[in-house]
Amino acid sequence: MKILIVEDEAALSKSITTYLKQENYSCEVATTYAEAIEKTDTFDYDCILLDIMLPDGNGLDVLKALKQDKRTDGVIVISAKDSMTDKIAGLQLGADDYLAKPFFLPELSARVAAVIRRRRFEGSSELVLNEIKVDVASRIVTVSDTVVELTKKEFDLLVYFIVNKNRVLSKTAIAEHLSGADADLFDSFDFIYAHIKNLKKKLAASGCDNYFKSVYGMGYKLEVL
Amino acid sequence: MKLLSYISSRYALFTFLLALLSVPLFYLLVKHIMYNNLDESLTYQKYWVAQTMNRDTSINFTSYNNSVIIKPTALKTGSDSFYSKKVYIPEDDERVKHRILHTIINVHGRNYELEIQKSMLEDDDLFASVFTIQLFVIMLLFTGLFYMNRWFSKKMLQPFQDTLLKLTHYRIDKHEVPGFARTNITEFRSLNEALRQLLQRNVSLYKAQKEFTENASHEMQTPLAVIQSKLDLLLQTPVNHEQAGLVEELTTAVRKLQRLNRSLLLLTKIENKQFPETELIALKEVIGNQLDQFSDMAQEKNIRLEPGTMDALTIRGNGSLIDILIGNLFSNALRHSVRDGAVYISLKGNIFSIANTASAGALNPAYIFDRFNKQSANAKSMGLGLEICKQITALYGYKLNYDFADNKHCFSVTFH
Repeated sequence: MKILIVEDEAALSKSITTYLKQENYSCEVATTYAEAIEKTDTFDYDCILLDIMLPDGNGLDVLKALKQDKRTDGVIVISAKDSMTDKIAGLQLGADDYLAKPFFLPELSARVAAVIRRRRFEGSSELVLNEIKVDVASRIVTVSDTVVELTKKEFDLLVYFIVNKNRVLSKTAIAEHLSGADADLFDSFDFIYAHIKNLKKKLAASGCDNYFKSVYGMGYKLEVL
Repeated sequence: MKLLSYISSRYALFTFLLALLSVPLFYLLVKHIMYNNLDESLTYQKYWVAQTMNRDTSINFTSYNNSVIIKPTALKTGSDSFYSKKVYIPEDDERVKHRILHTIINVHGRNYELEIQKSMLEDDDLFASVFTIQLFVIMLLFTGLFYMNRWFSKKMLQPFQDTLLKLTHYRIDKHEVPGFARTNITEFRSLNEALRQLLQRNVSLYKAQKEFTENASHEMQTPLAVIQSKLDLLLQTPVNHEQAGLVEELTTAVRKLQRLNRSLLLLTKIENKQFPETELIALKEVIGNQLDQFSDMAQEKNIRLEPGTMDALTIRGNGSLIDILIGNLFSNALRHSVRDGAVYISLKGNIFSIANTASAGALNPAYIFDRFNKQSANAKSMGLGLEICKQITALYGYKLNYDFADNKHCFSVTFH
């Protein structure tokens, strides 16, 4: 899976590269508008992470150029401008997703995975983790061909963990992913514990191994060897 | 008091005093001239009488009205004496004031006492005349002043009134710098020029300030993103419990900074009216979504979410802003509600209200919607949420209210 990171802040693109490489993505970095155009002209990418504010141009113009060439590369707009207009403009121009800075890397990874899934399998996407099969489009989870009934939150949680498998996910990141709201509204993150406990219980009832590990003081991890 | 009235009232007072003072002055002056004139004429008459008597002593000098009286006398000749005296005139049956010359003349070696009288204008009459004339002049002056004032305020002050009107209606966040009417009056021209420059300066300062907030917030997002990403990576390395705690605390601080930034940016954008798109919004749905979204949070704090009456209400506005408005009121209620408390939500008619059980007494409604005004000790609160709500309601002309009753903080939005 090839990913292009169009981002002028080297420290940030390095972080993204480090994180995504561990997910077996191959990452390339473009720091300017010109470089982004040059790279996209030469190669196809599974997903392009596009910063809007570039030193020599607007990231949205890269998106426009891609769409003019009828390219199907997945695009996630990453912007420091947390403005609705940018988001709407990005999505209207054909971006697949929008993420405002700053973001959690696991969140980015989940979004990238979702975009690639949609592109690759054209809607009928399946995530497989040993005996667990998740059909993201129809939202059906099966463990060794037994359907497991999950609530919306539990389903989201499972997908998030599978995409970020073998990663420590902080409670804050999980809370924001689940609620879509500011994590600081929570006095404690006990509700995450409750969701994970329920999820584990339901999966175990279908004969699934326990992959969830609580990492003391940090968060949780879906550990697959 | 109008400037012109103020000035003219001072002028009028001065004119009036001057006129009053001029009545006795004129009176004395006219009297003095009159006396001089009469005395001169009396002296001529004296010489004429003396000459005539020198030629012919037999002439009877007691003339008409006894105005000339000549009597032989033993008195010595002396200087002429003039005086005024009231003399009875039988024909008119009244005493009339006369100017009298009394002197002794010598004719052919004999002394005669000579008295010549001339009737003159009465003091009262003179005074009355002077007074009447002055009064007339004052009246004319006042009438003139009145009409000139009216004309001035209409014509001359017109550019000033124009400037004033434009300034009264001018709002720095809404309008362009107004063009003032041209005028030939130097003071008004300088005033307009000074105002124009002042307004221009203010506009550029205002713009700079707005842009600063926006740019600063933008520029801060990228370093924050870098910090956050490094923290995420740090978490993937073998860290011990203590280090993990530090990472978590750092993450919390970064998220807080980020939200602060976003809120400031949002405020600036609302103030700049950068949300032009509007759509029809079913409020019931918005409230329903927020109820869903906050259910976890409520559960976690063991707060009951109690939706009451939910009337159907459709409003026109920007979808994101209305989401933010309702969302902020929800998070505000949850944030400040006590553990095991309750949040009551209702939409009655065109009033949305959300109330939460209070931990302390009423808040001060005077400051509650102010930026960074925190009336709670909650460290997670930023003090921007309600300000954002206020700006959104102000943008659409809704009314945002705070009430405290039944140990509950209640915020309500009246949609029009």
